[in-house]
Amino acid sequence: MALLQTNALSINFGGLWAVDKVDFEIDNGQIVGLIGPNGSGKTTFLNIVSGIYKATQGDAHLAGEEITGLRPFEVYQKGIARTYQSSRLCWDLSVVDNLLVGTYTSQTYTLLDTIFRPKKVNNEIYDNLQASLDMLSYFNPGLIDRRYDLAKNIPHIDRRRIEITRALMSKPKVLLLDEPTAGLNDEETMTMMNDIRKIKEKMQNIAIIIIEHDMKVMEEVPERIVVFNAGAKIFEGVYKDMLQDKGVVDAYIGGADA
Amino acid sequence: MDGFKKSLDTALGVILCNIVIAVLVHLIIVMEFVPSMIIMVAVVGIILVLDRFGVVNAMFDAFIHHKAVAIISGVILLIASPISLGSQNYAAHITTTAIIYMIACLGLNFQMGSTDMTNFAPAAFMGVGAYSVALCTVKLGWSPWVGILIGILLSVLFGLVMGLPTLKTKGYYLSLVTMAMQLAFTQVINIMPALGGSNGIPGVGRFTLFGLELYKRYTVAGIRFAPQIPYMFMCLAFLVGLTYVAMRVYYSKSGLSLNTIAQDDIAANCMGINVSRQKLFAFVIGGIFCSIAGSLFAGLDSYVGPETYSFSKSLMLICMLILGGMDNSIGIIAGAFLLTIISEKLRDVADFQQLVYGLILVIMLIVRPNGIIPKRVRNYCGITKRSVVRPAEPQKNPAE
Repeated sequence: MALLQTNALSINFGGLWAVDKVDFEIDNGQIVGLIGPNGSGKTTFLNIVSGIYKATQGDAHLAGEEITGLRPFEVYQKGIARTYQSSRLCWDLSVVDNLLVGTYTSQTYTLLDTIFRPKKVNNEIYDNLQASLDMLSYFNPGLIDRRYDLAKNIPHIDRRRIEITRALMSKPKVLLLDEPTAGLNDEETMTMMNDIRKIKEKMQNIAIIIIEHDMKVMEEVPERIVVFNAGAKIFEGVYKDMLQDKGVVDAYIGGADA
Repeated sequence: MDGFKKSLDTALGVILCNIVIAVLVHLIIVMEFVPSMIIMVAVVGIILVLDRFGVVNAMFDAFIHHKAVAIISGVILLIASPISLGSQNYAAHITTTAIIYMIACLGLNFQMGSTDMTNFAPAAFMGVGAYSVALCTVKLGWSPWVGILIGILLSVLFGLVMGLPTLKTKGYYLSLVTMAMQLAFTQVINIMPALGGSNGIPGVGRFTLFGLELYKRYTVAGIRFAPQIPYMFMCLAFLVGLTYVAMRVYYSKSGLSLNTIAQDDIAANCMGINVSRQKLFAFVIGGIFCSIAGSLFAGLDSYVGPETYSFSKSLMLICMLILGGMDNSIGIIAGAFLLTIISEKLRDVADFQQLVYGLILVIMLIVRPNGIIPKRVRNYCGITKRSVVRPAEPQKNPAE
């Protein structure tokens, strides 16, 4: 069984099937690209997988365990972390705090520990802090000096990096990236592509699902591409085949009879 | 200004800071209305100006660096300050009131400051604690300490009851639910004769500690101390303990998760934070703080009535929080202190009380909407003396 597998996953918004019977699977260490015209249900698909929306039909399994119907924080604890199309960093918290939020589930101390502070609590916070800053410096060492800056004062691409680092802090099995290069210029898009490859180097086993409009990224980063149109999966395969696929071309450019 | 900051960051600087603060607080408490107000306005003005140059932040850093010195000198001054009030009944009374409001505001902060859920019912939580003490002592003849404990248990329940419907609501709707709870609380008390109705319950039992009466005029070394002084010590002990708890929670994953929920609850949920549970936690722990404050208040006034724990008291607590600064324990304590003193001293000119009160808030919101001492960035150097950043490895070009 694949690491993450969905069977006929569907969701209905007031009569509209926003995601329609999608069968999808991804294995350890794979990168899968998700593309499709606007409104084709890519983000909705991620939202169902991460538990924000509840699937109307079908199911999703992570490493053989059913995750359909779990609440988002439970899905996260099972090992699916994500980033968002528009950044969801906490603007008024510092970089360090934003990263520490990512370690929330890996900090094991209880409320009584919080109040009485045995030494292990401080050690735990310290270790998590250290680990997150190490991870952050892996993407951009320059950010370490700005660790106490508020997230709203950080440049756009670095915010993305912070967000990805935050998602990686829980050592997830699956990472969902929703348009990581949105709002970045060409040069920054290249850097972001490198960053995604770096994630792969650092965490060999992680599976990454990436939604992206930039075809250059799609050509180079993912091993396999899934194309959505009007909620349904219309293509699955490698990039080169996708360019030849009539259904995909029709969906993007419009068919001969359109 | 840099030299000044540097001299602050020494043990001596920290002690001097503490002494200056203590003297100013003392003056504001004991002076007549007009000079007291002048000092207060001057102090707030100076704080705001100093903050422009980052001196307030430097002060916080200095206190963190010299924690032991700051705590020892602070405790000595805290013990000295009630004694310094001597036989002045009124000053002792308003100071104790201020301390109690500080505790309530610290509780309210868990909901309003940390989690951004405007709770219009802190006074109802205070009422739960106060009525527990009143009923225990007057109707059942038990010790007020039992009353405090029962109050805490009831406020946990009340917090859960209030928290559950608010889990489904956000923003204005949540505020409306809490407002309804507050109004319902006052009404329930008004119509229940067993709870004293609108007349309230007079003659609430005073606190005693190991047989020592805490509300009594003692004569020590020839000075006849005000009767509130021993009680003030007890309230101070509660304040110190609860401030400690509040700060600990702030510097923990719980506090951080509350902040995350305030900023973006969907992201918080997707980061593994059980948003519902944390929101309930904010209501319950805040409720416990407020309940303790209410119990102490009942012991001070020896009377509980529905008017004392009405909607307007809730508004006052909210104003204290806004004035002092959200999510910063020190700011909250300052705000509660200033507003209590202002409204108590204004009793001489009761006609203008509400006016001045409103005016202060309007001016504050225009000049400094974040409060006098606003929220600070969490500094984890205070937690661990070790440097967080590993010694620099030979780095490549940081921009890649």
